[in-house]
Amino acid sequence: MEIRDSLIRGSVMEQYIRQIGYIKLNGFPGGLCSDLAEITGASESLTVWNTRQDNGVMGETVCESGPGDELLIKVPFAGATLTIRLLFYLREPWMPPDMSFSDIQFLSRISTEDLEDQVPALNNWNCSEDDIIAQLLHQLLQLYKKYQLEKLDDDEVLQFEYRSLLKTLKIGEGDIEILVNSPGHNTSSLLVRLPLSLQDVPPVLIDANPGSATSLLQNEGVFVPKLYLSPRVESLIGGANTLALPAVPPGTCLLDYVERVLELLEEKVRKAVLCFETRKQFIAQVLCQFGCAVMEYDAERFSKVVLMFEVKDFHFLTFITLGQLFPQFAAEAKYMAWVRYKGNPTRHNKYAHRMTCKHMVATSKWAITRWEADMHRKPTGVGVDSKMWLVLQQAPKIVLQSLYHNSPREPYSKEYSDQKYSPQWTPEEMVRNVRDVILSNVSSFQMSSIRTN
Amino acid sequence: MTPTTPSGGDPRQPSITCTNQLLNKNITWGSTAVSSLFQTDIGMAAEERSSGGSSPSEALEVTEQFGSVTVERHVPRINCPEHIILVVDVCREDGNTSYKLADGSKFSSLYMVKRAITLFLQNKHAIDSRHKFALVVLHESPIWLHDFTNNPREIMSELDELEDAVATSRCDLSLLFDLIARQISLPQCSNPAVAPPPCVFRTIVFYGRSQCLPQFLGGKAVFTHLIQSPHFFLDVLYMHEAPSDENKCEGIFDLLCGLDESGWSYVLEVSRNATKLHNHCGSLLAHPLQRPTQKDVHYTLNGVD
Repeated sequence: MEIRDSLIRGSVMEQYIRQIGYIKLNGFPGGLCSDLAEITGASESLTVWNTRQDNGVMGETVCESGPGDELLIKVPFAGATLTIRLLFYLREPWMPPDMSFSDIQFLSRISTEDLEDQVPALNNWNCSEDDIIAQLLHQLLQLYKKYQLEKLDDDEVLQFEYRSLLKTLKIGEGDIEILVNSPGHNTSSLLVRLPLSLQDVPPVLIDANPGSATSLLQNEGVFVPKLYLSPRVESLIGGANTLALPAVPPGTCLLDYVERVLELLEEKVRKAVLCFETRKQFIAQVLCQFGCAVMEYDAERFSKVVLMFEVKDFHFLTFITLGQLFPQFAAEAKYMAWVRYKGNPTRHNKYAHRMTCKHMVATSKWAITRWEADMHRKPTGVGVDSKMWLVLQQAPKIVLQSLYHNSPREPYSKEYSDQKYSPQWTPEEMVRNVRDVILSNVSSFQMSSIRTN
Repeated sequence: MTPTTPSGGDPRQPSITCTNQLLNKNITWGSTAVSSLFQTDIGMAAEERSSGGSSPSEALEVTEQFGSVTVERHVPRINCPEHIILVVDVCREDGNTSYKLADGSKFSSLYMVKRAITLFLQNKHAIDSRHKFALVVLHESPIWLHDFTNNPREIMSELDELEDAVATSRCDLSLLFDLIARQISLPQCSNPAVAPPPCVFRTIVFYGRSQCLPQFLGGKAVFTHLIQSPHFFLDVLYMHEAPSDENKCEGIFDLLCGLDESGWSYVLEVSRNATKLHNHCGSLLAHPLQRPTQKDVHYTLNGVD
């Protein structure tokens, strides 16, 4: 009998582990930030929570829970965390688990009928199904959402904002999470998934990051917005912390603000796609003019091309690199490099920031020179120059590298900036200009590479 | 002897002025015509990856022509990581001459090839740090000295230890390619014309003997199997004495050229000219999926429009 018992218990345990594995594999069901959900085995006993639920009356519930019988699930919800604790009866696997929630009011407010209607898994607990726990959690979360929406009836303003968001953004109820007067706080918070479409984005720019593209705007209390971007979106337009959210002037309507943020993100996506297309055209032009000298080029993101050239019997490598947001404001590049360094102070980020500073200095000098030259020119024609060149944009980076000399551990190389660069040029003109930069610097490069060796 | 050197001539200009057309139509690079540079190769390759291997609506064959020979490229022009097998011949023959530099200093041929390979490794790593290198030493029989690594310093430190040895009377290429075939596993792509491979393998043989003809003493079956894969490439850099009646440089060079069965190999030669040796190592930096054929290379840069 003992052996049979332990065999049965063993197979129940295996099933239980499979059910947890199902959730870990397929992700937490439902929830806007479900990829951030955590599932762990609980170590505290259930009596603590039971005591609170009984409104201070000390209960003497004895739990015969062993390790692995309890699950603690932490689900992000509308910017806060809802913790669900499930206690399983592995000796009586046909019994559904006991439940506790960090939101103490939740269970006390919902009726038995609600539970029966909305969480059918409890009544139809089929312990042999791999996804039964997942189903239960999904149903519980939907019930929690419904409970929060019912609380909305007490807050007309928030309710109005909720409905306006649904209607104007044309999103579904599954795209918004609301926490009305969260426990312990007097503020409400709202999390909305923005309908940011990545449909027109070339797959190669976002393929590397799996998962849906999500931009979430959270509003806490008196309008404190926070933005969360999924890795897919971040890889395209940069981290959420590098995007400056618009300021919130007093009296701003939530809907207006959300629409502004969405427009900001859409603009960033459009810009990223435009940058990609521009880089592609530039690389195509390089290959057109110098295809017979190509060593290698980035055929996915078009960010780099390496060529070998010969000038008066001197052979050398040329690296032409385009920033991810090429053409991009030099000042913006510097700011983003600074933000990255502050967020992650590695040597690489420090070096990258220093390079953008040097580039900023170079472009400033260029702008001053250009401005002075422009001042001397008499305005002619229909109107004055639009001064578009004043928009300091980042030129392709040109590095010449030696085939013969190390200095001392790496091949000797030198970066050359393109003082004449203009974003107004066609790719063909840009490439011709790169050629001119190379030609005008190659003999000094040759001299210094020999000297260094 | 007709060494294969980079072709000279005037810089080639495109016949199409609109850049956008270049991405979709034929592009003329001098005497070559390359169709669908980006649109089908990369765009469809990316879609192929994301859609999990669905076949394209049109077959992809990129054709390059020079003279009357048509060489077909059957793989997209992706700069995937390369796994490069450097095969270094350490045999020193009698009468082996040194390299003389402009300042009068002399260096043995093994020293020069080590130096050239060092710069090759450093430059290749700078181009893309994903590229990996392995080292094989060619003497009596080939020895797999260092397995693939993307840290060039590991190969460089092995190279430093290499010393030349008395030349053997024969060089069996079958042993070399048997060894390579055992050590690598070629990518299996369901549709190699469209699906970009996870990596390509390239063997670069640095052969240094002027008296010994390399031969396939054990048959060519393994070599043929390797070379027919669209993801395996062979390049040769032949470093030899000055050709004369007393050596077999020309015959050896012809034989090495004969190893280029696909038309995509680079077979280069140099005779004790250090600059040319380094220049050839520069040519060898080119990615086999993206470089022009050897006859089409043209590195001269001038300011003429």
